[in-house]
Amino acid sequence: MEETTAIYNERVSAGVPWYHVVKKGQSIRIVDLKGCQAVDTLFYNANNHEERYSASDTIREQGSIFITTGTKLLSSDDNVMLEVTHDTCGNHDTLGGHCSAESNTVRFGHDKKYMHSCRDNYLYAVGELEMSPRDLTNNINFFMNVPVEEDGHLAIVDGISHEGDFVQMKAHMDTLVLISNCPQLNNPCNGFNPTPIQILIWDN
Amino acid sequence: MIEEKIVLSEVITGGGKWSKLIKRGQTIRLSALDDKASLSALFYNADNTAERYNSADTVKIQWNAFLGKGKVLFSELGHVLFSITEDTTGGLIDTLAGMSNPRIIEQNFGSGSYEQMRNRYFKSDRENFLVELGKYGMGKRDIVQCLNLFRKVDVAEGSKLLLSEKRPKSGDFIELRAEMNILLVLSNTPHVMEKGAYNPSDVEVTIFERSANEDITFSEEAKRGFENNARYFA
Repeated sequence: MEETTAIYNERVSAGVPWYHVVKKGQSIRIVDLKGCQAVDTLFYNANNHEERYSASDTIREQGSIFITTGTKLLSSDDNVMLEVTHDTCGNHDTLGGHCSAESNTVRFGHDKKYMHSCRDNYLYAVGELEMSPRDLTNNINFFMNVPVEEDGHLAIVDGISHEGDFVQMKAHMDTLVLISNCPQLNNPCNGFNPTPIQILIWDN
Repeated sequence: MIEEKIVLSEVITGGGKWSKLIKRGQTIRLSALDDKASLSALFYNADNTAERYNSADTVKIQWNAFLGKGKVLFSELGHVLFSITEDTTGGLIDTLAGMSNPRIIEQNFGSGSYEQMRNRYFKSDRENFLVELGKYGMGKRDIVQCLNLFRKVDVAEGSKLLLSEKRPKSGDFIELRAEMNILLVLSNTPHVMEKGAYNPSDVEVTIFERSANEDITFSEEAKRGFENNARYFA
């Protein structure tokens, strides 16, 4: 699809929250403008926020922990929310969740508590949206690379996305998309250098 | 010598649901009575149920999707909710596959309605959790990715999810020590990736109070989690 025909086209700065409703039939594209960014993303039924993206249902039903072209993103109520139609990266994380001030203390030391985090972005956004903090759950990390070995070993390792890589999804229901453009500075989830992303939406 | 006192001993019937406050310092032992044991668990800080078990933080912080003795279960606020103080199953714990719902139960086991089966009808995790959470004024928003006990899901070739054929032996048990006051909700139903005959077995629950903590070596990350707990209760 051409950028010029998009009905929405915004640059989202490093480290900030972003949310928008994508209507049924519309497509949303997330572009990793500089490469190796982590885009922490949650999805909600725009008309009933109690229905939300379910990581475990999504990976179990497709039999794979990674999200890529063809993945159907399933909801907690067992419905298809969106389907991934294009992916130039090929490896998006479903297991690592989002960073928080509190988990940073455990992972990296108590002196890291002051640092900005995805959970702060999410809490701010759900506050503004008058949703509940209980609506926050396991998210997708687009462009983040978390391989799992046979013994279960799991680590956030260097990203594999490059400048301009993108993932595109078609909405099967009116979907509230909630993003934290990850501000983490303590691990390679975003190359230790949070960068902006671009979001485009098209009518079909 | 660590002395222990049993404060509660119960059996959760196959297909059943169960919930209980587990006080800080108490240990809950979940025992398989045969090889068909399978529990799904949700758990919360009982003093603030907005604070829940977080599977993503638990696996990320400890660098492993598989759990066993000496690992801990983190909340989303950097606290340790439970420590795994004993596990005779050799790691039959699943953090990945989530819970069953009525559609999955019918797909994997066929039809088993109340009208046909009376009280042996085919219950799902989701039904059990919604019923039990409702008793605490909680609901759908409180359902997060659950922890599954007595079955394991392997990750093959770096990405494929497969239900391991390993099963517990009769008498195998997993012990969880409550590091905060915990609301624990259990669903005693087949693992979400199980197929064949719907035939969940009874599981025994025993809650202990012990005179001292077991000698377990925890990771640096877990220790910082305990420090966060100490601050919370200071």
